[in-house]
Amino acid sequence: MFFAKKEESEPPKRGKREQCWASRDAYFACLDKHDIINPLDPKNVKTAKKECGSEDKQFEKDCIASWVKYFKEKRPFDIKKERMLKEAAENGQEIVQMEGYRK
Amino acid sequence: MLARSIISKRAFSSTRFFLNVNPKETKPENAKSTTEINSNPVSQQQQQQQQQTTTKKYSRRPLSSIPIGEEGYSSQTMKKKPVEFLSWQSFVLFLVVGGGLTYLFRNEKEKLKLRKEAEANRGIGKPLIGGPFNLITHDGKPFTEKDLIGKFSIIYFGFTHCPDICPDELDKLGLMLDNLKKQNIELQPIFITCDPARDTPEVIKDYLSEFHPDIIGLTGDYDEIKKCCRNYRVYFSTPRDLKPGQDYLVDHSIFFYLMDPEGEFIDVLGRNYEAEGAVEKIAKDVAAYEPREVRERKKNGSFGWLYK
Repeated sequence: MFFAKKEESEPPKRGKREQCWASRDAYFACLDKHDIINPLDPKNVKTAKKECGSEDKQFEKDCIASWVKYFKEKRPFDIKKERMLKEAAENGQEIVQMEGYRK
Repeated sequence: MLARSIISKRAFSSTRFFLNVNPKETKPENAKSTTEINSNPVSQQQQQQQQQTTTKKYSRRPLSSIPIGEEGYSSQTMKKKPVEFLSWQSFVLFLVVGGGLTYLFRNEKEKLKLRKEAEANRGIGKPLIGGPFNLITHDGKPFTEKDLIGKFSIIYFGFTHCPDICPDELDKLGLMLDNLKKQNIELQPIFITCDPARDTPEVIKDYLSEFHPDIIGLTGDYDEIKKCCRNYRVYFSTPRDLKPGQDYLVDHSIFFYLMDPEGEFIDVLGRNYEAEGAVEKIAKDVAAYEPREVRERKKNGSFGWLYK
Protein backbone atom coordinates (compact mmCIF):
# COMPACT_ATOMS: atom_id res chain seq x y z
CA MET A 1 0.00 0.00 0.00
CA PHE A 2 2.75 2.43 0.98
CA PHE A 3 4.86 1.34 -1.96
CA ALA A 4 2.02 1.88 -4.40
CA LYS A 5 1.49 5.38 -3.10
CA LYS A 6 5.10 6.31 -3.72
CA GLU A 7 5.00 4.97 -7.24
CA GLU A 8 1.91 7.00 -8.01
CA SER A 9 3.50 10.29 -7.07
CA GLU A 10 6.44 9.79 -9.39
CA PRO A 11 5.85 10.48 -13.05
CA PRO A 12 6.63 7.66 -15.48
CA LYS A 13 9.96 8.20 -17.18
CA ARG A 14 10.72 7.81 -20.85
CA GLY A 15 11.21 4.04 -20.76
CA LYS A 16 8.00 3.52 -18.82
CA ARG A 17 6.10 5.87 -21.07
CA GLU A 18 7.17 4.02 -24.15
CA GLN A 19 6.32 0.70 -22.56
CA CYS A 20 2.90 2.05 -21.68
CA TRP A 21 2.31 3.34 -25.21
CA ALA A 22 3.36 -0.02 -26.67
CA SER A 23 0.91 -1.90 -24.43
CA ARG A 24 -1.78 0.60 -25.33
CA ASP A 25 -1.14 0.07 -29.02
CA ALA A 26 -1.30 -3.70 -28.58
CA TYR A 27 -4.60 -3.40 -26.74
CA PHE A 28 -6.03 -1.02 -29.33
CA ALA A 29 -4.89 -3.28 -32.17
CA CYS A 30 -6.89 -6.06 -30.55
CA LEU A 31 -9.92 -3.80 -30.23
CA ASP A 32 -9.55 -2.83 -33.89
CA LYS A 33 -9.51 -6.49 -34.82
CA HIS A 34 -12.84 -6.99 -33.08
CA ASP A 35 -14.38 -3.73 -34.27
CA ILE A 36 -14.66 -2.24 -30.83
CA ILE A 37 -14.42 1.52 -30.95
CA ASN A 38 -15.22 2.45 -27.40
CA PRO A 39 -14.15 -0.17 -24.86
CA LEU A 40 -15.84 1.83 -22.08
CA ASP A 41 -19.25 1.67 -23.72
CA PRO A 42 -21.38 -0.69 -21.55
CA LYS A 43 -22.44 -2.76 -24.56
CA ASN A 44 -18.79 -3.34 -25.51
CA VAL A 45 -17.35 -4.03 -22.10
CA LYS A 46 -18.16 -7.72 -22.20
CA THR A 47 -16.74 -8.41 -25.66
CA ALA A 48 -13.67 -6.31 -24.92
CA LYS A 49 -13.00 -8.27 -21.79
CA LYS A 50 -13.54 -11.59 -23.50
CA GLU A 51 -11.48 -10.91 -26.64
CA CYS A 52 -8.79 -8.53 -25.38
CA GLY A 53 -8.68 -9.32 -21.67
CA SER A 54 -5.00 -10.23 -21.58
CA GLU A 55 -3.94 -7.15 -23.58
CA ASP A 56 -6.08 -5.00 -21.31
CA LYS A 57 -4.40 -6.46 -18.25
CA GLN A 58 -0.96 -5.76 -19.68
CA PHE A 59 -2.07 -2.24 -20.59
CA GLU A 60 -3.26 -1.57 -17.07
CA LYS A 61 -0.08 -3.03 -15.66
CA ASP A 62 2.23 -0.87 -17.79
CA CYS A 63 0.35 2.39 -17.45
CA ILE A 64 -0.76 4.33 -14.41
CA ALA A 65 -4.52 4.26 -13.83
CA SER A 66 -5.19 7.83 -14.93
CA TRP A 67 -3.45 7.19 -18.23
CA VAL A 68 -5.42 4.04 -18.90
CA LYS A 69 -8.63 5.98 -18.38
CA TYR A 70 -7.37 8.85 -20.51
CA PHE A 71 -6.32 6.68 -23.44
CA LYS A 72 -9.52 4.65 -23.36
CA GLU A 73 -11.61 7.80 -23.37
CA LYS A 74 -9.53 9.35 -26.10
CA ARG A 75 -9.77 6.40 -28.46
CA PRO A 76 -13.29 7.06 -29.87
CA PHE A 77 -12.35 10.66 -30.64
CA ASP A 78 -9.16 9.68 -32.41
CA ILE A 79 -11.03 7.12 -34.49
CA LYS A 80 -13.73 9.62 -35.34
CA LYS A 81 -11.14 12.16 -36.44
CA GLU A 82 -9.31 9.61 -38.53
CA ARG A 83 -12.56 8.55 -40.21
CA MET A 84 -13.54 12.11 -40.96
CA LEU A 85 -10.22 12.78 -42.64
CA LYS A 86 -10.44 9.52 -44.54
CA GLU A 87 -13.97 10.25 -45.73
CA ALA A 88 -13.00 13.74 -46.75
CA ALA A 89 -10.12 12.37 -48.78
CA GLU A 90 -12.38 9.77 -50.41
CA ASN A 91 -14.95 12.39 -51.36
CA GLY A 92 -12.25 14.34 -53.06
CA GLN A 93 -12.30 17.09 -50.48
CA GLU A 94 -9.09 18.93 -50.10
CA ILE A 95 -7.33 18.75 -46.76
CA VAL A 96 -5.43 21.96 -46.40
CA GLN A 97 -2.01 21.46 -44.92
CA MET A 98 -1.07 24.69 -43.20
CA GLU A 99 2.52 25.71 -43.58
CA GLY A 100 4.64 24.47 -40.71
CA TYR A 101 1.74 22.65 -39.15
CA ARG A 102 1.87 19.03 -38.15
CA LYS A 103 0.25 16.49 -40.44
CA MET B 1 16.68 79.67 -101.06
CA LEU B 2 19.70 77.58 -100.18
CA ALA B 3 18.21 76.79 -96.79
CA ARG B 4 15.00 75.74 -98.40
CA SER B 5 16.78 73.29 -100.60
CA ILE B 6 18.60 71.86 -97.62
CA ILE B 7 15.36 71.40 -95.76
CA SER B 8 13.73 69.68 -98.63
CA LYS B 9 16.76 67.48 -99.03
CA ARG B 10 16.69 66.58 -95.33
CA ALA B 11 13.01 66.04 -95.37
CA PHE B 12 13.35 63.58 -98.10
CA SER B 13 16.39 61.82 -96.77
CA SER B 14 14.43 59.75 -94.30
CA THR B 15 11.73 58.79 -96.76
CA ARG B 16 14.38 57.91 -99.17
CA PHE B 17 15.87 55.61 -96.61
CA PHE B 18 12.67 53.70 -96.16
CA LEU B 19 11.42 53.75 -99.69
CA ASN B 20 14.80 53.32 -101.21
CA VAL B 21 13.90 55.75 -103.95
CA ASN B 22 17.43 56.54 -104.73
CA PRO B 23 19.71 53.58 -104.16
CA LYS B 24 22.77 55.75 -104.56
CA GLU B 25 21.96 57.73 -101.44
CA THR B 26 21.27 54.75 -99.16
CA LYS B 27 24.69 53.79 -98.06
CA PRO B 28 25.12 50.69 -95.92
CA GLU B 29 26.12 52.88 -92.93
CA ASN B 30 22.61 54.29 -93.04
CA ALA B 31 21.26 51.18 -91.42
CA LYS B 32 23.70 51.29 -88.55
CA SER B 33 21.12 51.50 -85.85
CA THR B 34 17.69 52.79 -85.16
CA THR B 35 18.87 55.10 -82.44
CA GLU B 36 20.75 57.16 -84.94
CA ILE B 37 17.68 57.70 -87.03
CA ASN B 38 15.60 58.40 -83.97
CA SER B 39 17.98 61.05 -82.80
CA ASN B 40 17.45 62.85 -86.04
CA PRO B 41 15.32 65.70 -84.65
CA VAL B 42 17.85 66.40 -81.91
CA SER B 43 20.65 66.66 -84.40
CA GLN B 44 18.58 68.98 -86.48
CA GLN B 45 18.19 71.36 -83.59
CA GLN B 46 21.85 71.29 -82.74
CA GLN B 47 22.68 71.90 -86.31
CA GLN B 48 20.28 74.76 -86.46
CA GLN B 49 21.82 76.37 -83.41
CA GLN B 50 25.33 75.92 -84.75
CA GLN B 51 24.50 77.37 -88.08
CA GLN B 52 22.62 80.19 -86.48
CA THR B 53 25.56 81.28 -84.38
CA THR B 54 27.99 81.24 -87.30
CA THR B 55 25.86 82.64 -90.11
CA LYS B 56 22.86 84.77 -89.43
CA LYS B 57 21.86 85.54 -92.96
CA TYR B 58 19.29 82.74 -93.10
CA SER B 59 15.73 83.65 -92.41
CA ARG B 60 15.04 80.03 -91.63
CA ARG B 61 17.14 77.76 -89.54
CA PRO B 62 19.17 75.45 -91.68
CA LEU B 63 19.22 71.75 -90.91
CA SER B 64 22.10 69.36 -91.04
CA SER B 65 23.59 69.05 -94.42
CA ILE B 66 25.24 65.76 -93.60
CA PRO B 67 23.06 62.79 -94.49
CA ILE B 68 22.55 60.10 -91.92
CA GLY B 69 25.41 57.68 -91.77
CA GLU B 70 27.84 60.00 -93.49
CA GLU B 71 31.22 60.38 -91.88
CA GLY B 72 31.12 62.89 -89.09
CA TYR B 73 27.37 62.62 -88.62
CA SER B 74 27.35 60.73 -85.36
CA SER B 75 30.22 62.70 -83.90
CA GLN B 76 28.19 65.82 -84.51
CA THR B 77 25.10 64.56 -82.80
CA MET B 78 26.44 62.42 -80.02
CA LYS B 79 29.58 63.19 -78.14
CA LYS B 80 29.43 60.02 -76.10
CA LYS B 81 28.35 56.52 -76.90
CA PRO B 82 24.65 56.28 -76.05
CA VAL B 83 23.32 53.82 -73.50
CA GLU B 84 21.82 50.92 -75.31
CA PHE B 85 18.51 50.12 -73.66
CA LEU B 86 18.11 46.75 -75.18
CA SER B 87 21.54 45.37 -74.48
CA TRP B 88 22.14 42.38 -72.28
CA GLN B 89 23.95 44.52 -69.71
CA SER B 90 20.90 46.63 -69.13
CA PHE B 91 18.79 43.51 -68.89
CA VAL B 92 21.07 42.08 -66.23
CA LEU B 93 21.08 45.41 -64.43
CA PHE B 94 17.29 45.43 -64.52
CA LEU B 95 17.11 41.93 -63.08
CA VAL B 96 19.64 42.62 -60.34
CA VAL B 97 18.20 45.93 -59.23
CA GLY B 98 14.59 44.82 -59.60
CA GLY B 99 15.14 41.50 -57.86
CA GLY B 100 17.16 43.11 -55.10
CA LEU B 101 14.55 45.74 -54.39
CA THR B 102 11.72 43.21 -54.48
CA TYR B 103 13.54 41.03 -51.97
CA LEU B 104 14.34 43.98 -49.74
CA PHE B 105 10.81 45.30 -49.71
CA ARG B 106 9.24 41.92 -49.13
CA ASN B 107 11.61 41.27 -46.27
CA GLU B 108 10.97 44.62 -44.69
CA LYS B 109 7.25 44.31 -45.19
CA GLU B 110 7.16 40.99 -43.39
CA LYS B 111 9.32 42.32 -40.59
CA LEU B 112 7.06 45.32 -40.27
CA LYS B 113 4.04 43.04 -40.09
CA LEU B 114 5.62 40.90 -37.39
CA ARG B 115 6.66 43.98 -35.45
CA LYS B 116 3.14 45.31 -35.62
CA GLU B 117 1.81 42.00 -34.38
CA ALA B 118 4.33 41.86 -31.58
CA GLU B 119 3.48 45.43 -30.66
CA ALA B 120 -0.21 44.59 -30.58
CA ASN B 121 0.56 41.57 -28.41
CA ARG B 122 2.61 43.60 -25.98
CA GLY B 123 -0.44 45.67 -25.29
CA ILE B 124 -0.63 49.10 -23.83
CA GLY B 125 0.01 49.54 -20.15
CA LYS B 126 -0.61 46.20 -18.55
CA PRO B 127 0.63 43.31 -20.68
CA LEU B 128 -2.02 40.98 -22.05
CA ILE B 129 0.09 37.90 -21.52
CA GLY B 130 2.81 37.57 -18.95
CA GLY B 131 3.49 39.47 -15.80
CA PRO B 132 5.14 39.09 -12.45
CA PHE B 133 5.55 35.65 -10.94
CA ASN B 134 7.56 34.19 -8.14
CA LEU B 135 8.48 30.55 -8.60
CA ILE B 136 11.40 28.22 -7.89
CA THR B 137 13.53 26.28 -10.36
CA HIS B 138 14.11 22.54 -10.30
CA ASP B 139 17.39 23.33 -8.51
CA GLY B 140 15.51 25.13 -5.77
CA LYS B 141 16.58 28.64 -6.81
CA PRO B 142 14.07 31.47 -6.98
CA PHE B 143 12.93 32.49 -10.46
CA THR B 144 10.88 35.57 -11.21
CA GLU B 145 9.86 37.56 -14.28
CA LYS B 146 13.18 39.45 -13.91
CA ASP B 147 15.02 36.32 -15.00
CA LEU B 148 13.37 36.65 -18.40
CA ILE B 149 15.23 39.88 -19.06
CA GLY B 150 18.26 39.83 -21.35
CA LYS B 151 17.34 36.83 -23.48
CA PHE B 152 14.52 35.44 -25.55
CA SER B 153 12.56 32.86 -23.59
CA ILE B 154 10.14 30.16 -24.59
CA ILE B 155 7.67 29.11 -21.94
CA TYR B 156 5.71 25.89 -21.83
CA PHE B 157 3.08 24.92 -19.30
CA GLY B 158 2.61 21.25 -18.53
CA PHE B 159 2.88 18.61 -15.84
CA THR B 160 5.08 15.60 -15.32
CA HIS B 161 2.27 13.03 -15.21
CA CYS B 162 1.14 14.08 -18.66
CA PRO B 163 0.35 10.95 -20.67
CA ASP B 164 1.26 11.78 -24.25
CA ILE B 165 1.12 15.41 -25.28
CA CYS B 166 3.58 17.06 -22.90
CA PRO B 167 6.45 14.61 -23.43
CA ASP B 168 5.82 14.95 -27.16
CA GLU B 169 5.88 18.72 -26.95
CA LEU B 170 8.97 18.76 -24.75
CA ASP B 171 10.79 16.51 -27.24
CA LYS B 172 9.71 18.93 -29.95
CA LEU B 173 11.03 21.80 -27.85
CA GLY B 174 14.40 20.02 -27.65
CA LEU B 175 14.51 19.73 -31.45
CA MET B 176 13.52 23.37 -31.82
CA LEU B 177 16.23 24.52 -29.43
CA ASP B 178 18.91 22.55 -31.28
CA ASN B 179 17.78 23.85 -34.66
CA LEU B 180 17.65 27.42 -33.41
CA LYS B 181 21.12 27.08 -31.92
CA LYS B 182 22.39 26.18 -35.38
CA GLN B 183 21.02 29.53 -36.53
CA ASN B 184 22.73 31.23 -33.56
CA ILE B 185 19.46 31.90 -31.79
CA GLU B 186 19.65 31.16 -28.08
CA LEU B 187 16.40 30.73 -26.23
CA GLN B 188 15.86 30.23 -22.54
CA PRO B 189 13.42 27.33 -22.37
CA ILE B 190 11.15 27.27 -19.35
CA PHE B 191 8.78 24.54 -18.26
CA ILE B 192 6.17 25.64 -15.74
CA THR B 193 4.14 22.96 -14.03
CA CYS B 194 0.38 23.18 -13.71
CA ASP B 195 0.46 20.48 -11.07
CA PRO B 196 2.30 21.98 -8.11
CA ALA B 197 0.93 19.41 -5.68
CA ARG B 198 2.86 16.53 -7.22
CA ASP B 199 5.59 18.36 -9.15
CA THR B 200 8.14 19.29 -6.53
CA PRO B 201 11.54 20.61 -7.66
CA GLU B 202 13.02 17.11 -7.25
CA VAL B 203 10.30 15.46 -9.33
CA ILE B 204 10.69 18.06 -12.09
CA LYS B 205 14.46 17.75 -12.04
CA ASP B 206 14.23 14.01 -12.43
CA TYR B 207 11.64 14.34 -15.18
CA LEU B 208 13.50 16.98 -17.18
CA SER B 209 16.75 15.03 -17.04
CA GLU B 210 15.37 13.04 -19.98
CA PHE B 211 14.78 16.11 -22.10
CA HIS B 212 16.89 18.95 -23.47
CA PRO B 213 19.46 19.95 -20.82
CA ASP B 214 18.72 23.68 -21.17
CA ILE B 215 15.12 23.42 -20.00
CA ILE B 216 14.48 25.11 -16.68
CA GLY B 217 11.62 23.59 -14.71
CA LEU B 218 9.58 25.89 -12.49
CA THR B 219 7.21 25.13 -9.68
CA GLY B 220 5.84 26.93 -6.67
CA ASP B 221 2.97 26.84 -4.28
CA TYR B 222 -0.54 26.44 -5.60
CA ASP B 223 -1.46 30.12 -5.46
CA GLU B 224 1.72 31.28 -7.17
CA ILE B 225 1.21 28.75 -9.97
CA LYS B 226 -2.42 29.73 -10.26
CA LYS B 227 -1.48 33.42 -10.53
CA CYS B 228 1.22 32.70 -13.08
CA CYS B 229 -1.11 30.56 -15.21
CA ARG B 230 -3.74 33.25 -15.09
CA ASN B 231 -1.22 35.84 -16.25
CA TYR B 232 -0.29 33.64 -19.18
CA ARG B 233 -3.92 32.90 -19.95
CA VAL B 234 -3.35 29.23 -19.27
CA TYR B 235 -6.33 27.26 -18.16
CA PHE B 236 -5.69 24.29 -15.91
CA SER B 237 -7.82 21.99 -13.85
CA THR B 238 -5.69 20.85 -10.95
CA PRO B 239 -7.78 20.43 -7.84
CA ARG B 240 -6.58 22.41 -4.84
CA ASP B 241 -6.92 19.76 -2.20
CA LEU B 242 -5.73 16.27 -2.93
CA LYS B 243 -5.37 13.10 -1.01
CA PRO B 244 -1.70 12.07 -0.97
CA GLY B 245 -0.91 9.63 -3.75
CA GLN B 246 -4.11 10.37 -5.60
CA ASP B 247 -3.84 9.66 -9.29
CA TYR B 248 -5.30 12.25 -11.60
CA LEU B 249 -4.59 14.09 -14.80
CA VAL B 250 -4.41 17.82 -15.35
CA ASP B 251 -6.25 19.35 -18.20
CA HIS B 252 -4.41 22.40 -19.46
CA SER B 253 -3.95 24.53 -22.54
CA ILE B 254 -1.02 23.62 -24.72
CA PHE B 255 1.01 26.56 -25.93
CA PHE B 256 4.54 27.75 -26.29
CA TYR B 257 4.94 31.40 -25.41
CA LEU B 258 7.78 33.33 -26.98
CA MET B 259 8.98 36.19 -24.77
CA ASP B 260 11.34 38.97 -25.81
CA PRO B 261 14.51 39.99 -23.90
CA GLU B 262 12.47 42.60 -22.05
CA GLY B 263 10.25 39.88 -20.67
CA GLU B 264 7.31 40.82 -22.86
CA PHE B 265 5.17 38.45 -24.83
CA ILE B 266 5.77 38.31 -28.60
CA ASP B 267 4.09 35.26 -30.01
CA VAL B 268 2.28 32.05 -29.19
CA LEU B 269 2.79 28.67 -30.85
CA GLY B 270 0.14 26.03 -30.60
CA ARG B 271 0.44 22.28 -30.76
CA ASN B 272 -0.37 22.41 -34.46
CA TYR B 273 3.20 23.43 -35.28
CA GLU B 274 5.85 20.96 -36.26
CA ALA B 275 9.35 21.57 -34.99
CA GLU B 276 10.55 23.03 -38.31
CA GLY B 277 7.53 25.29 -38.65
CA ALA B 278 7.97 26.54 -35.11
CA VAL B 279 11.68 27.15 -35.67
CA GLU B 280 10.94 29.16 -38.78
CA LYS B 281 8.36 31.25 -36.97
CA ILE B 282 10.59 31.90 -33.98
CA ALA B 283 13.56 32.81 -36.20
CA LYS B 284 11.39 35.36 -38.01
CA ASP B 285 10.08 36.81 -34.76
CA VAL B 286 13.60 37.07 -33.36
CA ALA B 287 14.87 38.75 -36.54
CA ALA B 288 12.02 41.26 -36.46
CA TYR B 289 12.54 42.07 -32.80
CA GLU B 290 13.57 45.58 -31.84
CA PRO B 291 14.23 46.76 -28.29
CA ARG B 292 11.66 49.07 -26.77
CA GLU B 293 13.98 52.07 -27.09
CA VAL B 294 14.25 51.61 -30.87
CA ARG B 295 10.50 51.07 -31.18
CA GLU B 296 9.70 54.24 -29.31
CA ARG B 297 12.17 56.22 -31.38
CA LYS B 298 10.66 54.91 -34.59
CA LYS B 299 7.16 55.60 -33.38
CA ASN B 300 7.99 59.19 -32.66
CA GLY B 301 10.09 59.62 -35.81
CA SER B 302 8.93 60.90 -39.17
CA PHE B 303 7.99 57.36 -40.27
CA GLY B 304 5.94 56.82 -37.14
CA TRP B 305 2.73 56.42 -39.11
CA LEU B 306 4.09 53.10 -40.40
CA TYR B 307 3.87 51.68 -36.91
CA LYS B 308 0.36 52.75 -36.10
